[in-house]
Amino acid sequence: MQLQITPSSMTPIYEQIADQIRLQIKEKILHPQDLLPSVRACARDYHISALTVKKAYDLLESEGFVKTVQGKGTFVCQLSENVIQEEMQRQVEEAFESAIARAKRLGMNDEQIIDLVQLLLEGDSLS
Amino acid sequence: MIELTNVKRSYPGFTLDIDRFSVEEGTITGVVGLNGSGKTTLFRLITGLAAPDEGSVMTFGHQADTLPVSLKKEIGAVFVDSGFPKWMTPADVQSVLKAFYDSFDPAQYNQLLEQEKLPKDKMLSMYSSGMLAKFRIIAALSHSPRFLLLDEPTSGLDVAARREILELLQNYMMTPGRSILISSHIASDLETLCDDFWMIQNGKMVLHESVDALTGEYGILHVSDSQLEQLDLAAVRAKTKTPGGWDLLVSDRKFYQENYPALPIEKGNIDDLLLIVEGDH
Amino acid sequence: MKGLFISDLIWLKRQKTMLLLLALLTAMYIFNDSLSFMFSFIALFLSVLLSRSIQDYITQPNARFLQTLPFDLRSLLMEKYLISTLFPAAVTLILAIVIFVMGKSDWNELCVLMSVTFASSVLIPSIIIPMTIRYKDKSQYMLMIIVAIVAIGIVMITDTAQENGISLIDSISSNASLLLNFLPALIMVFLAGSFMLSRRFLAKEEY
Repeated sequence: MQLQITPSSMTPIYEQIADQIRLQIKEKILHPQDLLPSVRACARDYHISALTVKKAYDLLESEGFVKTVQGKGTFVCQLSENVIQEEMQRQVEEAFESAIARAKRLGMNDEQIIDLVQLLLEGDSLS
Repeated sequence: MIELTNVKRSYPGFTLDIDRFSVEEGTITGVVGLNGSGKTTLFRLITGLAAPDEGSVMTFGHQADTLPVSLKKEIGAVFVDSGFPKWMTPADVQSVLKAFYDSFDPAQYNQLLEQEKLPKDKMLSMYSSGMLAKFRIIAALSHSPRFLLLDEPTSGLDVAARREILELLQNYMMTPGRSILISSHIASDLETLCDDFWMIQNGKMVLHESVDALTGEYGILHVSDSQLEQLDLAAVRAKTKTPGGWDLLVSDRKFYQENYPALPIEKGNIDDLLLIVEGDH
Repeated sequence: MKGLFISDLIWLKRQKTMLLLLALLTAMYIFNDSLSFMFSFIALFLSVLLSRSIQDYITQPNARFLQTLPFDLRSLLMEKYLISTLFPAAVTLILAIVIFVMGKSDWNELCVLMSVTFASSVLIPSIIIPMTIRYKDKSQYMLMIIVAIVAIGIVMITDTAQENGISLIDSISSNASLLLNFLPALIMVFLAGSFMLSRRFLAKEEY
C-alpha cells in the first residue's frame, strides 16, 4: 500500500490517510483480506505520529472498511460494491450538508445556494 | 513507564516544579522548551542522576534515584555531550556493553554500525558530531532497553543524518512495550516522530498535547488589534504581541475557519507554539 | 562490575607507550641492582594511575552518561579499590619472581620488599580514591605531592638504612612476628575506613 501524505495541507493527516485507503479499496488496489501495514510501520514510512495512523485506522474500522484483529493486524473487510459506494456517497452528503449550513449562516437562501453550485459545476466542466 | 508527581527540585536561581509528567508505554514522547527551561534537570531526575527535593519520580514503577541494577539495564540514555570516553573505539565499547548488559546483541550492534558506515576500529575522538550522534544511539539501542531517553540527539546534524536517526528510532519502536522520551530544538523532528509532547517553561509543565491534535486541530492566527477585540476567544490557548498585531494559538482551527473564513489560519506547529506561549504574559 | 573491569583493562591495554617505558625502566633497574626504588616506583605508579580512573565516572562531561550504565555505587568502588590494589600487587609479584629466577636476590629480601610494596599499593588508593571523589579536579596536584612524598620517603628510609649499615631487612625480619600481626590489621582498618569514606562521598554525588 502506498500513500501520499501532504503534511502542509490543511486537511488533517488522518483524513488524508483514510480518504486514500477508502479510494484504494474502491478502485480494487486494496483487496479484501489484505493486511494493512502496522501502525508503527506507517508512522515510520510517512514520518508521522503513530497516533495519527491509529486514528485513521480506527475511523475506517468504525465505517466498516477495515477490521483490526488483536495480535494480527488490520485487514481490509469483505465489502460489496454497494457498501463502498454507499459509504462514499454518505460522505459526500455530509460535506454538502456542512457547506449548505455554512452558506445559510452567511445569509444565502436556497436559490443562491443552487445557483452557486451550478456555477461551480460549469466552471469545473470547463477546466 | 515514567511518572512524576508533585516533584520539586531547586537550584540557585532555578526551581523545577512539576505537578504531573508521564511517559506511557508504547509511545514516543517529546519535551520542548527554551534553553534553561528545565529539560535536562527533568532527564537527570528520571535517570536517577539527581534526586528531587520533594515528590516522587517513578521509573518502571520504582523510585528513580534508587533504581536497582536490573532496572538500570532496561534504560538506554543518549546525551549530546556525554558518552563513552573518547579514547575508546566502537570495538572497545562492544566489549564493555557485552559485559554490562545481558541483552546486548552484538549482531545488531555490528549490523547497525555497518549500515550507518561507522568504522569500528577508529577512536571516538576521531568521529564527527554526526557519526558520534548515530553511534551513541546505536550503542543505546543494541541492548534492547525498554526505555530510551534522548537529550537533543540530532542537534547540529544535517537533514539526511537526522532522517537516518529518526528511522533508527522508528525501527526500535516496532517492538511493543517500549517508550522513547526525546528532547529537541528541531521542531520538525518532533512533529514527524512523536506521539505526544510536553512543553516546559521555567521549570513548569505548561502544556501537554498529542502531535496529532497539534497538527490536525490546533491553528495559528495572525490578527490586528481591532480584529482581536471582535474575536471569540473561546479556543485561544495563548497569544503574544507582534509588530503586526497579535499571534494566537488556538486549539480548534475549524471553529475559526468556519466562523471567520476571511482570517488566514495556519496549522499548528511546535516552533510557533513555543514562541506564542513564551510570549504570552 | 565486570563491565567496569573491562573498561579499565582496555584502558591499560591502550597505554602502550607508558607500559613500554615502565618495562624499560624495570629492566634498567634490575640490571643495576637498585631493587628498592624500582619496587616502590612501579607499584606506586600503577596504583596511582588506576586509582585516578574513577575520575571518568565522577567528573563531567562523561560522568552523566556513564552513571546511567547498570552498576551500583558499591560495585564501582569495589572495582576501583580492587584493580588499584590487586593489579600493582600482581605486577610486583611477577617482578619478584623474575628477579628471583634471575638470581638477583634471595627470597627473604624479596618478601620484605614485596610486603612494603603491597602495603603502599593499598595505602595509595585508600588515600587517592576518596580524595578524588571529594575534590575531583582540584585533587590532582595535592595527590601528586602526597605520592611524591611517600615515594621519596620510602627510598630515603631504605637508603639511609643502607648507609648506616643498618640492614632494613634484618630489622624487619627480627620484628617479623610483630609486624606480621600488627601491620596487615592496620592496613585493613585503613582500607575499610577509606572505603566507607569513599562511599559516603559518592552517595552525595549528582550528575
